[in-house]
Amino acid sequence: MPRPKAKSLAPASQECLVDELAAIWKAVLENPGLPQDCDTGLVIMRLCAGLTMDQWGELAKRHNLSRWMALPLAENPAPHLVQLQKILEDLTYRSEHDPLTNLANRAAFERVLELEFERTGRTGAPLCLAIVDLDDFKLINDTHGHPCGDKVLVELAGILLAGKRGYDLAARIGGEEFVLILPGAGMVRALAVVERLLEALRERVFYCSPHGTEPFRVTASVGLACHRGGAGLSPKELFEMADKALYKAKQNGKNRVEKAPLPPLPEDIRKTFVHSEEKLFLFTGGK
Amino acid sequence: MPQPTKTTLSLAVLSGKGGVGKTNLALNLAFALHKAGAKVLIMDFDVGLANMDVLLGIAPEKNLQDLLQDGVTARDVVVAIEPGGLDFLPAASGVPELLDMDEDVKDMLFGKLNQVFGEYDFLFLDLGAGINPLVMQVAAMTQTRMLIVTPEPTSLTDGYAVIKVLSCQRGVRDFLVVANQVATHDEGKATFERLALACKKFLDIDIVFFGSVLTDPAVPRAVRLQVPLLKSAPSSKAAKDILAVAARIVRFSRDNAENLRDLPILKKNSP
Repeated sequence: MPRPKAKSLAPASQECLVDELAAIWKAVLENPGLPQDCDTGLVIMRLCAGLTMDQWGELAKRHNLSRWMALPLAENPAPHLVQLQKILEDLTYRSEHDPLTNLANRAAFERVLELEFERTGRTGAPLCLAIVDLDDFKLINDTHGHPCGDKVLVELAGILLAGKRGYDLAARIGGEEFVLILPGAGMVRALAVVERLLEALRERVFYCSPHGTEPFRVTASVGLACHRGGAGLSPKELFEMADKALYKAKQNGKNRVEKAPLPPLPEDIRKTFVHSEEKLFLFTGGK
Repeated sequence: MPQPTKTTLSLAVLSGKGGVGKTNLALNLAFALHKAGAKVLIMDFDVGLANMDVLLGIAPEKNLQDLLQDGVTARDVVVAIEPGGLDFLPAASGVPELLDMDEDVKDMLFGKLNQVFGEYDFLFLDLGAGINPLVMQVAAMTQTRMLIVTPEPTSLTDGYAVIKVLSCQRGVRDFLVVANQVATHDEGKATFERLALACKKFLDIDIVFFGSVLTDPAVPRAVRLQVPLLKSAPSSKAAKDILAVAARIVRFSRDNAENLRDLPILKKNSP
């Protein structure tokens, strides 16, 4: 006997399903007392005849149900697994990227900075951090509107991506605050990179909506701090140094880069330094 | 084949300042020890600016750079300069990259060298002048160090810098000092004493005096002839002084035989 054609789940029923899931989530899984990695427990399932993988995909997207896993009854699970994989990749990407500019977000920046610090600690190679902050961004938003402000942010992100080296990281860590991690660069090289980026930004002319706002230009201030390599400095300390330099740049008229002072030489080097009293003693025999 | 009970004394020859006669001394000390019946290997480790071959008047086919190649052993590179166990391992002039040897290359190099070291009673490593990291690293690997100074004040301060760097950065505290190019033996002693006082006062290190070598026209003459001093002018003043230093080295080796047996010829240390 031929199998009856599966009827699609009605939209109303689909909405019911969504509500049920939301209720379950609230009642059971939002409970903070439940241990995360418990290996005893139950998988509570519900049969959803007539619901296809595509329909589920749509529902999940619209109602933020990606945290639920669905398995097809009779079909090959492969498409589902592929979709699950896509969801995971999408979520991972979103957890590390700023949605507007597609640059790395603050979480990603902090993670990468930790890693680069570990690397620089071992190799002794230098590491620079540049905090880039758009000048008078509030004014831009007020004058030209927020969508225009967003456009400026996206353009700046583009300049950072284009002007940085392949292994540098560009991140958006605040509303109009960006940061560049420059591994292996000392102050001299990092300064050259930053000056180029600032110049590229100065030269860019922005046109926003066709509502008659005139083309305008934008500038940024940068605080640049460098770590010589080896131990003796924490990521937080380096960031604070760059932040202080940024503050100075703003104070000194904006549209410029200010350098943080180089951190003191590591203990090791100072230990072997031959002091003048030692030299004097060798020259004169202590007389 | 190296015998388990035989001891090899490894000596790094250092100077802070260039031109104090370090290479010449290293060469002639090795000669002196060989004359006394020991088997000696001298390694020109003045990587990038090798000069010992010039003093010997030889043009070796292979050198340290060749040793970096696969399949080349230390035996292939070592040259006999006197029959019966005075051998020479040449460095390579004009290869600054050798100064930047990474840890794997160094490891491989010393692995190959260790294959032959045990065959000798004495191992002289003539290191470059100065305090560059490679020199400091190798100086910390040998069982002992001989620092060459002259009465000239800058040679003293440079020599002091070597001691300071090695002791502070690498925990090395034993130095045998030879005063070269002295006008009189008293001047040599005074030179040593000044350095010793500074080391004691500022670094709390006791350095050991191994003698002084008089300035002698026979020395530059031997260099021009490209024949070691001890061969061309063995009864010159400088040669006699060098023999005295060599005798002290032999005594040192005997007195420390017990400890030396326990120490590796070249200590593997962290870069």
